[in-house]
Amino acid sequence: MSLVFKALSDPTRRRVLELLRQGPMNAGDLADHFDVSKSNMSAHFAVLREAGLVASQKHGKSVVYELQMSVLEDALLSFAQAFGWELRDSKKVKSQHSVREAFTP
Amino acid sequence: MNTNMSTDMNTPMTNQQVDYRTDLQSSPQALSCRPVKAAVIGFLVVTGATVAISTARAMGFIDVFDERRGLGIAIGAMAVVVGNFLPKTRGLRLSVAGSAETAAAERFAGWTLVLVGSAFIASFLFAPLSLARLISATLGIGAMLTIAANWAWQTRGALSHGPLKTKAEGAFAPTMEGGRKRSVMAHLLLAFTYVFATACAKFLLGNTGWAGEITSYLTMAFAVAFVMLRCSPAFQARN
Repeated sequence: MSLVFKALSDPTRRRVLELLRQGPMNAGDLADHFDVSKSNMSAHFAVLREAGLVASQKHGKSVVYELQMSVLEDALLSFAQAFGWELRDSKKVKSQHSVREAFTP
Repeated sequence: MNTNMSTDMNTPMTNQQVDYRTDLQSSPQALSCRPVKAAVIGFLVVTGATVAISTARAMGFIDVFDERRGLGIAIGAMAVVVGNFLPKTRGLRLSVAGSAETAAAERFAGWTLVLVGSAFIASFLFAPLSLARLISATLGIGAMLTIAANWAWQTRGALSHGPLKTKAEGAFAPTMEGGRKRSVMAHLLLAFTYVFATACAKFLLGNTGWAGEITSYLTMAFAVAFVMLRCSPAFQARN
């Protein structure tokens, strides 16, 4: 279940899942919707596949992804979308705290 | 994922050179068998619970009212389990074409079963038994008719094996392995529908003569449905 939470905590991955609701899509077509490098997209796809939220299949030279979510996972996705749920980078949060403390009189 | 990361670090790669096929090297399966196993185990656990409840009644540990409440809750739990895994296991998918429409129908069916199952559990937990039976039977029959109508409407083009709308749809052609998993789910769905329909008829009609007749007809109808499932071209293609 932690893999599912990790996968749903990223807005890009949530957007990928939203796009896949319309039907199966090629990795390239999915990547065109985002302003991130294709290697980063590849890593996002791998996280989604490891969490079991998408199924992938080779089709010629490309890979096609299809949504594979249970009702509970679908509900979690809607919940995460509604509340803008994001995984916090603990190092970033710590550094932000230390900067705030440094500037507090 | 590791494959991609290591490739990224060792060799500089432009966007055009990235090959998404490397994604599949860590886990090549298209349809994981985990959700199918989980659905089957969940179904068997709830079936075991119904047997335990009936045995407890036969041995005099609980009275007939507790038994009826327990069975109602167990059938609700069964609907929640099957509904939850239905969209993930693609049990209603018959052909490659129209997979987006079938997926929408499966999502609708899954959500409906989970909500109706939860309503079953709540009504048998908190409402008087006669009212709980009426509420659950009405909801159950309504849900089955709605799911069937929605599925028929959504997949009306796909059932005739029409042309693929997108090239991507063709990638998910039934494979031997994926077909076996989906056929397990199709049998599970048939078993669940039989139990659910019979229970709704019993809840609505009680122990009247009508109930006996209707459950006999349901048994015959599901026996025919089982034979049709085994002989259907879609099932043959899966195996």
